[in-house]
Amino acid sequence: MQVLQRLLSLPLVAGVSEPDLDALLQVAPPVAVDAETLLMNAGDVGDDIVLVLDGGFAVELGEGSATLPLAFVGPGEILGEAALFRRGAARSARVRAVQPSVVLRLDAGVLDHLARQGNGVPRAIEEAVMRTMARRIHDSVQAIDGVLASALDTEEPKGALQRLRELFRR
Amino acid sequence: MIPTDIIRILARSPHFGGIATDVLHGISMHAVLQPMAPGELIAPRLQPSEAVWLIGDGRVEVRRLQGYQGKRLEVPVSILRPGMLFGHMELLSEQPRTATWVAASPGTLLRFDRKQFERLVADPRQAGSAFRRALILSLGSQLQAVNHRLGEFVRDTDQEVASRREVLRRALEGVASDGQD
Repeated sequence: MQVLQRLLSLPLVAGVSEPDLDALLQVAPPVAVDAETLLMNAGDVGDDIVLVLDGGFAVELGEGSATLPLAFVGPGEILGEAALFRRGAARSARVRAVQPSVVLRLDAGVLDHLARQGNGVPRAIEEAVMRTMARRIHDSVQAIDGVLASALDTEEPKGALQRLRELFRR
Repeated sequence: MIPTDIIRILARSPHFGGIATDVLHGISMHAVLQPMAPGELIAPRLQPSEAVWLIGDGRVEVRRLQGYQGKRLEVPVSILRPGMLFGHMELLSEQPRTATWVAASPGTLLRFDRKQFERLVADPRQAGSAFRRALILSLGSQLQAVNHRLGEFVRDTDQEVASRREVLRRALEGVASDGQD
């Protein structure tokens, strides 16, 4: 019941009925994730997405001193969306829990199952996935273009990576 | 408008391939055919987005504004080919266009105007679901490519800047450049 109330409070599924959200929880029960758990790694194969109910995750690229934090993803947001409906696709970034979290894991099978029942969840999730991806692509392209333009203008690539980090930190 | 031509274009696209003809028919009702001529401006950068296009045949050049040694110019960064979608990222993120699209050859586009696009995206029926999934497939590939590019940039910032500088230098010298974004 507590999880259902949490779901009902998320703008992502605003407009979806309580029975439809309850049906979602029957096929995709909540999963607890410990802090520092590596939820996804770049190169992993997987076509499911994760809906964050509580907690938070860091999305990162690169290793060690070249790590680029792309985003902090919190309650009501989606992770792993680039692989949805693309069976065999590799994850393109690393996702790490930065605090104890609770998530729902959904794949195409779950969404198809719910859609066949006339459930409103798949439409809401698909629309959220599209808008999330569009925003992330836009932000990344803008960041790369901005940093490259500055580096090209000054003939000085040094500091470009640092500027990129600052842009994603905003 | 000839729906069968529109359905044929949709069916040829990798994003819509495999979708039943009656569902494609539902999608086709929201699109119109738009012929294009070489050099024709399809949509300029920084303008609000008002449509999404699917390339039926022909090629579309993507140009981005870039700077080099204090100069600013629009540089071709990629070529879009038949079956590819464009414009959807800007409409979904509600951001102005960051690129200019110009016809690189004669051809035909399918155009979904903003209102029709939003109607399809929100449609709970099969046509809406198929359309959303096609967009998700297209955006997923784009996001993966952008993340890959970011990864390359992080691994070797100097190399990325040097390679882009060479593209810009050649563009400024009037040498045709067709680098991939």
